Amino acid sequence: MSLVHEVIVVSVLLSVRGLKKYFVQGGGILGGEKEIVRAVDGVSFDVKRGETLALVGESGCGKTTTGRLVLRLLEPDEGEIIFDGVDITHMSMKELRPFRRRMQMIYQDPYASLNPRKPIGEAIAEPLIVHGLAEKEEAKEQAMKMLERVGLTPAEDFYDRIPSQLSGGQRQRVVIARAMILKPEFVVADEPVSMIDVSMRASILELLKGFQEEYGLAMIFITHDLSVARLVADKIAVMYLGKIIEYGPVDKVLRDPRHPYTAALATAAPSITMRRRKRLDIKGEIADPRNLPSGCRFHPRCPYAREDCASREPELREMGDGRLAACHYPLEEGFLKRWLKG
Amino acid sequence: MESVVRLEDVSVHYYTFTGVVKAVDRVTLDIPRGEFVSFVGESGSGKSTLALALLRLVPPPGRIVSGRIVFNGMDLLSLPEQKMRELRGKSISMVFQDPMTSLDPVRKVGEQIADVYIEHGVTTDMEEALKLAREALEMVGIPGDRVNYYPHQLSGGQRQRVLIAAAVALKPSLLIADEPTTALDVIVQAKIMDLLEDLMKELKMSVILITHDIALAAERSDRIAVMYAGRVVEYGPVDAIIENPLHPYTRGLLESAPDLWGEKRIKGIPGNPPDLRNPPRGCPFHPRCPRRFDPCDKDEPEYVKVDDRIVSCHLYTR
Repeated sequence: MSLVHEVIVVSVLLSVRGLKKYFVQGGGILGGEKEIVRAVDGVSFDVKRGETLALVGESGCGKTTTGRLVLRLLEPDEGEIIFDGVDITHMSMKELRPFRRRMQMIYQDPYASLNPRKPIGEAIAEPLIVHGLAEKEEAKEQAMKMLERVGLTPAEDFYDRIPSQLSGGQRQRVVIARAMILKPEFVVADEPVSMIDVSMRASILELLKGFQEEYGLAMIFITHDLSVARLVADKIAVMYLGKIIEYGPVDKVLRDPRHPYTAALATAAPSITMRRRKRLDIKGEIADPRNLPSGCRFHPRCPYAREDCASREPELREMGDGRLAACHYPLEEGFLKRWLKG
Repeated sequence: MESVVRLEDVSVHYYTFTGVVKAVDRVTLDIPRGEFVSFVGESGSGKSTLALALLRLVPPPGRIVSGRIVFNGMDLLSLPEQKMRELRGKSISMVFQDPMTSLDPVRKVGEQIADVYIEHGVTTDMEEALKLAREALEMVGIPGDRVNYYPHQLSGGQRQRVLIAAAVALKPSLLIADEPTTALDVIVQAKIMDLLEDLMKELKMSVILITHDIALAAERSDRIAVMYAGRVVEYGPVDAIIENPLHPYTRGLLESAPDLWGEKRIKGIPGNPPDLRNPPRGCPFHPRCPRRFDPCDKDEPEYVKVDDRIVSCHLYTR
């Protein structure tokens, strides 16, 4: 019995509870009213070893801020971040150092995340040297192997190239190689394929998956694209105005959403196989995060909102099958299937 | 079938320090009047350059080096600049990707739409022009009193609607939209695309959509032109292209697109897009093509008509 218990406890690598990040806008030298943007407003989730959690939502929903918070690239205002059983929420930069090596970030823009003048081989070797894991020669050798591993071959030809001599897809391979050379246990990938040409996305996703299997990586995959989330994720968390509004196994959530917002996103995404589907339309655009709606943040756009949705804020609650939704009047089970048929 | 635009052998080259880039390479096709036609391609395929060529707005060091663009019976490439300027915004309009850079941030949106009426001599009276601007805003689903708003007071979707209002103010016969929803979220994107479709019917316009998103094109178009390395590799009715792609690149692109309702895997196309300064010999797609054979690395394929499609591939040249 106790052995089983231990396995379950150990398998969670990252645990986030009640995470909040508020930004203050205005009130500086330009004057104006001080306004508070509640970018992340009470977010909780777990990521297990080897598991991918997709964070999805429209721009301004807080998905990128969440990703940066869990890596401590931003200081949280409230909440807890537990990594491998250790509370890292308030660690100093020095205390964080050994953890930094174990967690990495992959950014959207391979152009902006590489030094344009640094040969890519050196860029890949650098983290090994910075973290004192290898001397120059050894680091170069490992970087060479990594170039091979990410398909930039022959490695000798690529080692001294600078980013402008590579295609977008090749640059993203460099970014991934640089993140993976430290053999991290956890990665936040923020829209890693959205700036890559469509025909090269599969190979980049394949590459990430390969590393994930090899290292048993836990991953947070941030994307605005539900169809990409479906390809890579085990679990999905749909965010809206700083909150998770639906969470669960990716196929369950996308095929049978219980929150009307998830259903709206799923039916809005262009699709070749379902070109003439019926969309679930919602009103307007995402609200100004400086001026959040009362009650349920989604209620002004919700086609099913009732009176009390404007006054009571819904909490995430169990919907069965490991799904959670934050809605007072969730869609019935099987709603989307029936909607698309009718 | 009457066409609104006919491209004949149109080439656009950029003369850069490192060589000549053949951004658009001998494109020939007809765009039927009243249809929604999408040009689909990845970065560097030439789709945006082609759109600019239609308006004769290719920026230096680019130049339209050959061909004819016949619009409503006129060859645009032989018109004097003055005449071309009259046509732009009146008969052919364009909507760009990023509404924030196309709008003047310090002028009210109503004034910016009103400009179109003044510039094209519909009226000389600003009051009158603002009244028309108000109607144009309402036509794109924005309350008329927003004429007094500045761009930053509007959401991204509303700003794109303002640009569309200005573009269709004079009821053009052709609207070119270059990635009009790429900067917008999916739900807003769907509504902007609905608006374009509605306006197309209401104003009896033809629409050319430039997009990297073949799924978006598949949903909205009557016809799709797939571009690769400056060439239109396949052009035809949307159903035929989606259900039975002829060109291996079209097939590859379709199999590369993740689909929420389709298979749970994507394939991708091996290799990298060609360097247009130094394109591969023969068919520009041959180094990445799974079906290449003898002639592909030697001869460039000509356009072949297959049923109601044209395709540029040696698989069909014999």
